[in-house]
Amino acid sequence: MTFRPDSGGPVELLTSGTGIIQSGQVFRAEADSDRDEAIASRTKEVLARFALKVDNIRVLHPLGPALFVQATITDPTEIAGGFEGLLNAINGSPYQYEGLYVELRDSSGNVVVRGSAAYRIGHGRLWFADGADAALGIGHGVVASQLNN
Amino acid sequence: MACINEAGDRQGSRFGITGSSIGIIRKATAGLRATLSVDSAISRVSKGLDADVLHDVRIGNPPPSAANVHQGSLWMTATVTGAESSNGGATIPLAWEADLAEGAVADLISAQPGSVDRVISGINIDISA
Repeated sequence: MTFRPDSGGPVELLTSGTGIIQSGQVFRAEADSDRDEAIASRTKEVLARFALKVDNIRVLHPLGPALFVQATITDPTEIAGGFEGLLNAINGSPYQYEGLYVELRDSSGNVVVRGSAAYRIGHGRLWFADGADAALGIGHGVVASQLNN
Repeated sequence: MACINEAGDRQGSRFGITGSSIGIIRKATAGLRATLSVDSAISRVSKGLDADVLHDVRIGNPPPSAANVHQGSLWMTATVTGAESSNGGATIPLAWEADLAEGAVADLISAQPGSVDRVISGINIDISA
């Protein structure tokens, strides 16, 4: 959470901008009491639509479900909508998960992109291999809105 | 490496929203989860994360270097292990678990949604092999 100390006055909760979230959020998979098996199954379906080979799917439960995905990509241009499109497809709207980690590797096992988000703190991280930003449509500074939003 | 620290105002509509949110906040659930003590919250959240990654989570005071945060707020420190290297974003999945812990613990210990009491203002994440 982000606070702006008012000089000499009370601490103020900023009403918009970086890192602003609300406590008490219930994300859709938690609201729907989705089972881990169901989450994995629908994630596999999404990855298949994007021509990605599933390497690993895990569901963590800090409170509600948080999704960890590792997959292999053969051609970044096969990802319609780029990395952001993939993240949007996995997480849906409203967000299904309180956290999301997605890692893509090439067919040689080299990591192409790693992105994470933790929506209860409004924070994400992203790393991509040289050239993967252009191939996957990853913008600089704003990156994928799924990670930022 | 590009790091992101952004959040916006995307609002779900399923249950109605109070204020800025990227998830869903049920109108009737302001306070749905009972407020827990720090120790209880850490214990509960840690059980849902990977014990091989997240080893130690503590809550204390903000470090003096965090000059812009409210010194009456709380600060988390977390130790994660398993980095295959420090290159190629290899620490991201480890730090992610600490991020998840921070958010979940913060939710469980917060006095009530929107309150500025018992707020976690930040986190230090120690990452080792």
